[in-house]
Amino acid sequence: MTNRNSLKSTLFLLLIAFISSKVLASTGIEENDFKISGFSTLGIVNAGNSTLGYRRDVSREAVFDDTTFKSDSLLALQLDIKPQSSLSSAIQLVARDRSDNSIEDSLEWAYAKCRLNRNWVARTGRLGLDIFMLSEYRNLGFSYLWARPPVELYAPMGIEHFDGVDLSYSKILDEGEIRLKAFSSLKDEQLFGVSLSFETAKARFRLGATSIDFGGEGSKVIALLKPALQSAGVLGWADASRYARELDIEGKHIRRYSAGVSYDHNRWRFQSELAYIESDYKPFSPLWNGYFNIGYRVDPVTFFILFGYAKNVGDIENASAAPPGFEALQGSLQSLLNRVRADQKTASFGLKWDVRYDTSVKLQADHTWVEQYGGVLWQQKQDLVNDTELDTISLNINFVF
Amino acid sequence: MLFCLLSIAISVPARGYGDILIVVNQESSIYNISERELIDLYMGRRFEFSNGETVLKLDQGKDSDTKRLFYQLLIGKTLSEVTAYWARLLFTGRSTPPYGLGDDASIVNMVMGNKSALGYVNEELDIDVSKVKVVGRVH
Repeated sequence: MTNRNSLKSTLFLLLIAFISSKVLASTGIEENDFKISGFSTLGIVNAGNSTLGYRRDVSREAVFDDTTFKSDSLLALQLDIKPQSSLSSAIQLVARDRSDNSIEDSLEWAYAKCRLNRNWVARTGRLGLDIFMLSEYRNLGFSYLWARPPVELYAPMGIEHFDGVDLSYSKILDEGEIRLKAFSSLKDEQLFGVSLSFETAKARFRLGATSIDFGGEGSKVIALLKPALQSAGVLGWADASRYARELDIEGKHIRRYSAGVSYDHNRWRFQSELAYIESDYKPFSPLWNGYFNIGYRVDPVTFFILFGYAKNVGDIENASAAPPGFEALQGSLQSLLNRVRADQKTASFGLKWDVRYDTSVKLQADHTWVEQYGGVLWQQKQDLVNDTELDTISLNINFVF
Repeated sequence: MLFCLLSIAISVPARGYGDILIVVNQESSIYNISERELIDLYMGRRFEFSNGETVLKLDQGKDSDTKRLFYQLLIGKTLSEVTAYWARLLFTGRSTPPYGLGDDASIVNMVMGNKSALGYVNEELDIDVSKVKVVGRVH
């Protein structure tokens, strides 16, 4: 019910923004100074099985062997205001399904931007988190081939924006533009990163490094387990205190390093990204993830194949034997340790049909192999004790306006 | 049904057109423009002419045939791909697309009336370009 109210409130805000744009437009503000635009996706997906719930990324509600419009559908409105050539601001609201929905979360961006000179640009406010090739437009389905950004690379990082500053330097070279960007949050949770990109009319290269504070107490399971383990440590299970310390997520960081390349010329489209994620939080072993895509256009349809891969290195940690009376707690701890790893790959094929210059239809079929205890990208109803295969079928209609 | 529609869409032949003329105001200090500079301007990487002068980039209507030809010749992209490219820049706050107008005649009128304007017209449409300056050609 709360989610439904939040969604209604967000849609109401979007409506207000749209009406405001019409009112301001009628007051004589020139079109160049004030621009309202948006995009949307109406998507249906059939995914998951009885124990593994499909989710586009870890911030979403999961789908267990069901068909839903909620996972991929969204509506976004953006308001751009440019009072001077060097100053501008933008607000973007995105209404979509979230497991933790609120108006604040629906505010994707709200920032002020200052072009300091030909090369330097500074922004402050709520900004998109620039850690992927599709970082700041992963919701903009019209701009990429697939039904959604490849789950293996994009799903582990559900965070899409932060409140802070970024500074970028760009320079036009003979064949393209090079861009260096640094960003940092201004809140208590530490988040900072740098990226280097080079873009020509046909190709794009990107390198990035980011450090993100986990923030908060972690999942509800961890919040319940930690005090229980602390008590068990006092009451006779010697290793429990160590496990409680290891589960303490406060002050722990993720460090992510990534590289990406895309090539888009004539009929061919290639894109690939690879990332390595490590953490000082012991339950999360280092993760390699990436994807590779080839597309071929037969106007107005582009056909594609896509391979995704995500795997935590190292073995599953086995919780030490617990003395009598603590077996259930030991079982809960082991279940948590069994569910924090990714070990899966997906092969996909599909098509993007550009119906007209602002509308596309996408059809995609995915087959995913999830290895034993490697289902962290899915919502798990129980420990994944066997290798599993799943199919996901998606149909999307994307618009920009 | 989907594949029936697909086959119909694919079979529609493209219309044939000639060169694209790049035009600026008669009083502009620009006398020629390279393909490289034109790509940088129309792909949102450059915000002024190479001599540092302000530029008002003009685009044609969203689904105009001249626009389709211009981007196909300039960067080898379809209108959908150009829309996707600009959507990416717009919705990531990097840049806003060129100012869109109706057709070739509107472009010429706007260029005549604005010293900073830069536009493009289809040579084969016999638009009167005698009152603007042709500084480039895309073919």
